[in-house]
Amino acid sequence: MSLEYILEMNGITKQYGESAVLKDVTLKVRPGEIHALLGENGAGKSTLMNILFGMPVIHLTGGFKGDVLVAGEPANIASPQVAMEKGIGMVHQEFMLIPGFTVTENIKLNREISQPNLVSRILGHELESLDHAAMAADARNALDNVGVKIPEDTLVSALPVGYMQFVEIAREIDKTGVKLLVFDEPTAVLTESEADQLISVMRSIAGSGIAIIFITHRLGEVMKAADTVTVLRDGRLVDRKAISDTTLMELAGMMIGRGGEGIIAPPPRREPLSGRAALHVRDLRVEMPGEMVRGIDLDVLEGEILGIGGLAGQGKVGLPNGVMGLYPTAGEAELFGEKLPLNNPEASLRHGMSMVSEDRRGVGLLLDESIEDNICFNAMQIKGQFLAGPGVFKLKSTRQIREYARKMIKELDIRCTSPAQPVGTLSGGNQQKVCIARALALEPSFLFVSEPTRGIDIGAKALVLDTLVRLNREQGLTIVMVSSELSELRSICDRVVIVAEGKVADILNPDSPDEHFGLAMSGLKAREVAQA
Amino acid sequence: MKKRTTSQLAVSALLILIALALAAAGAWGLAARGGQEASDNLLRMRNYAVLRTASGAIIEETVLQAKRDARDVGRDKGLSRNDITVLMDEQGAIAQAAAEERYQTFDNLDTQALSLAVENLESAMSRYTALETREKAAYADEWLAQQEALEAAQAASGEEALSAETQAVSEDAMMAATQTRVDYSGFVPSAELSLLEEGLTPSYDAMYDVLAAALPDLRPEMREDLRPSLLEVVQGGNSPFVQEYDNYASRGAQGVLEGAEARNMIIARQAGNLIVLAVGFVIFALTVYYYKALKRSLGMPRLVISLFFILLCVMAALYNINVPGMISTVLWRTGMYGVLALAMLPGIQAGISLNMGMTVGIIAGLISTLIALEMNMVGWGSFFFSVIVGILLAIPIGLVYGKLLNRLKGSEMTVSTYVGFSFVSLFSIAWMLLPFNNPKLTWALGSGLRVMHNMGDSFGQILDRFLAFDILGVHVPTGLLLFFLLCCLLMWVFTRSRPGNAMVAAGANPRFAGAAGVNVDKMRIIGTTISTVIAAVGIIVYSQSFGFMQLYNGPRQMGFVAASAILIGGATVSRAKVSHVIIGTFLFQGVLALGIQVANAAIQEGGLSEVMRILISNGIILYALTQSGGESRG
Repeated sequence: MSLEYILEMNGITKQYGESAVLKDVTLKVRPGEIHALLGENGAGKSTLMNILFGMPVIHLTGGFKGDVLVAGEPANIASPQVAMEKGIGMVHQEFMLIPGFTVTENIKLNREISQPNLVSRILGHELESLDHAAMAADARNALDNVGVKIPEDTLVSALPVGYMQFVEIAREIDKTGVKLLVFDEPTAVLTESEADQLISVMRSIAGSGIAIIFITHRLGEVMKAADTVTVLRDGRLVDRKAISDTTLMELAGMMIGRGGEGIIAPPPRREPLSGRAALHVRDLRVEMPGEMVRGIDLDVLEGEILGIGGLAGQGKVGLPNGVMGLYPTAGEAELFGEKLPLNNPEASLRHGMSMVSEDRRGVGLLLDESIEDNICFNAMQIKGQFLAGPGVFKLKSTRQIREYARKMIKELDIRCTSPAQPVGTLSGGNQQKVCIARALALEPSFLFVSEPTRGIDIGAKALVLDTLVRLNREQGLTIVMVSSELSELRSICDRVVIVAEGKVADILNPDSPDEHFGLAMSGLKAREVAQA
Repeated sequence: MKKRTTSQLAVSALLILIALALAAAGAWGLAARGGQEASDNLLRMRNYAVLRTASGAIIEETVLQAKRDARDVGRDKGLSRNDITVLMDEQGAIAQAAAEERYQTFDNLDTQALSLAVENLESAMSRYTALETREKAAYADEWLAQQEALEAAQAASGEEALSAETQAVSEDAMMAATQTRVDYSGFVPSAELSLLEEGLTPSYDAMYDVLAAALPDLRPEMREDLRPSLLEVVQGGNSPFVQEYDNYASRGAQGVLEGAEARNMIIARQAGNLIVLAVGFVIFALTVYYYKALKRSLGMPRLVISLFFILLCVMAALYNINVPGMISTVLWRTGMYGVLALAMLPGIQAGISLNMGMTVGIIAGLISTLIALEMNMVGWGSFFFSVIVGILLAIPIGLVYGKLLNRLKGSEMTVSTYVGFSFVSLFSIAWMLLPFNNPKLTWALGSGLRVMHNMGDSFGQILDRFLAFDILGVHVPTGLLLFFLLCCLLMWVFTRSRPGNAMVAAGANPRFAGAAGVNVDKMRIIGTTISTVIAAVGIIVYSQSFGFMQLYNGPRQMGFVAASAILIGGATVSRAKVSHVIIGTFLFQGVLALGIQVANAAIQEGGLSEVMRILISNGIILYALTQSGGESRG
């Protein structure tokens, strides 16, 4: 092949409304190479791939700027259909297979080989019969190329999860004229040995001249499998390097970057921490869909602000939700030396814990109710506050509620017309403050704050973080803050726990080097890497 | 709030102009009624009406004669029956046209004499009528008193009129039945009245003579034949303008007026209606002008239904429907259905959406009422016994039903609809088998409970009558309304208590409530149970107010009626307040009651009223259910 690049995407810029998600990004892939595309959540990887496949979401939001060249020729990829015709294939992260069909049928789905029969001669080729033998032969061939020994007539539903990935790959390479395959986080659901096998399959596919774009955040696999790597961060191209010219540490640093210049500067602690454990968690497992926790051991110290970071879907959000009893949880937990019953939200609240949920509109608020009712709900239910009346006939006391709500509105600077305004009409930042006020109304000794700055503007972010620091410094409140934004965690936390694949990957100081954070996010410990 | 659009302003200005024009015309018309011109015109119309009545009789006679002649001719010619009919019609039409032509004008009429004679007759008539009205009123009072005594005697002796009760009675038939008709067959006029009646004859004869002079075709025997209708024409002399005008106009007397005269008289006649219309247009204009504010505070469905309600009120006024009676009906129906609609509230608040299966509670209420009837209990004791036993029965049923709904989360409305229907069907069997033995309850032949049960001798209308009073012709069923409001108050108090507050939160956002340590499933069971209990009380209140208890398929549609009421009140399937129940029941029942009356007035065909009732009530239910999605700030 004389072509230098099978795919060139030059100067790609894409805006969703006001915010630019890709800024002048370039991606060049040579024929027959494995090209890793590396980046954090929100770095722009998926948007870039959506552009490559001509997904409707791109065209519906005003298209993009820049050129796409496939095999050296300008290509106008208007739909996924066009992408397929141009020889671009995708191996999906979620398996797009039909469980009740055999492997052959799945591989040849919609590309069936058929022979004319009596009926089809009269009524058209839609009614031709399937040539099972030819299809099976094709499927066998594709499976052999992938290097799996499964019989082609097994039902997909009978396959182990790891093998489904291979069927998916076999389907893509069975398509004639495939020049480029995109693997979207293919190893996420595989065991280690399966992942190794996948990498060797990728290598053999690449060896046959098909280029591969390998999307992942596992740095180790990038080093093992890829020939070249492109790193994106915040929608910009950081660098494009040959793997032989780079190191694991360098990639980790490029992925994280120096974003954390400190959104706010918290005042120093007056007294050092006592060092006693406030929350003590052993082998915690949480069944939270999309955020599974698979065995976390962690000690949160009294009076500290502990940050929990990590990529989406790795289980960082599962920890607070599990301890608060919102999702089925197993393991052990102690709060201030007392055993904490799990799977019981009421008990968690009664033990003095409180939580600001990451799902503000779903879990955090009653959107149709007033600010004051939202703030006082928990305290009324758990502690029986804000009620007045004789004996058991206690009714909600509007006066007490209004008084307390006014106090909190002033303290947290909630911008509203009155305490009776429905929270659904507030801005995101003010809603978040109502959530915090509700958590504080319980006068907790331990506070979980999950994604407190998600979806709110930068000014409100600083206010929310300031509030947390103030609570911590003034009242000695122990805070665990979960956030997708490392810069936030690094600006206010005493320690930062990085969770990867449902486990604690590393516990770092906020001023640890960027590389260490990057490594931890892909599940590696800096010390171990250095040793290796 | 956004600025009003120009078209909005233009439309409301136009509507206001129309309203002003109508109001001005109406005011002028009202003023004109008392004027000299109007009374002159009325007098002319009266004379003309007398003439038309007389000439009309002649024309009729002529036509009949022509037809008879045609028939004879046809028979002579040996035509077939059909051909004879055709011939008769033909000849009749020709004769009619000729006769009408002839009596277009009355040339040899002594107008002066006629006026005088009519005047005389009218004054004699009015003296007679005044006395007759007085005597008849006295007779009616006496008759009613007798009737009541008779009924009391019957009740005491235990005689029952069983025949009517076994049939299903529609609510409208019920409403009609409450207005008793006085039987005047036993009325005997006093000597004075008879004297006055005799005194009519010379006046009438005098008038008739004038007429006969003008109309030579008037045959002598017509003198007596025409007397009732002519007296009727003249009688209206001193009645209000509208009645008088209609009286003459119905006899074709407008024909005497020409051009501007006729138009002015029509405006004077319609003055009241014009003013009603003007009010309607003003309301319409205001709605357009404040459209956005109204839509925001009321919500689209409530705005539409309120406008429809006002439209019906305007139409009712135009059709001269008795307004106080109408308001009484609406109040009565609001109280009657209010508690049933309230049963929807805790269901929605607890998050099981519309509790169509409230019929399980209704069945509990029916059973407790049957027990009270079986034991021949009467008065307040029987009412409270039914309520308490009904509540005790409804609690366990509600608990089990609530558990069932918890197992089938996400499709509560479907499940509850089917539970409701199947429970009604199951109990249709049970009503046949349950061991009730009181002969008042069971079928006359064989066993099993009858369909309709008269509540008259137990606690029928006991709440309705409590402290009831009439004001400006409106009958206010105080006890009924108080009981409804008491139930609403209790429900409101509950939602402000700690468990009540938790229940509302569990319904509004189960994940929120769960995160706050609320046991959402338990709250759903509590809500379902309260809903079931209120339904049990609701049907007892309904039965006592309706006066009859219906078994078998009677309760099947109750869920829909209650759901529609609360939805029209502004509730959504996930959020509701006590105010939604009160407003909704009033609007729903108001539109229903008014709608039926207006439809009956508008469509005179007999038998259509029941069709209209079904169309209107189901139409509102359908509209309400389309609104069930509602709007949330989420």
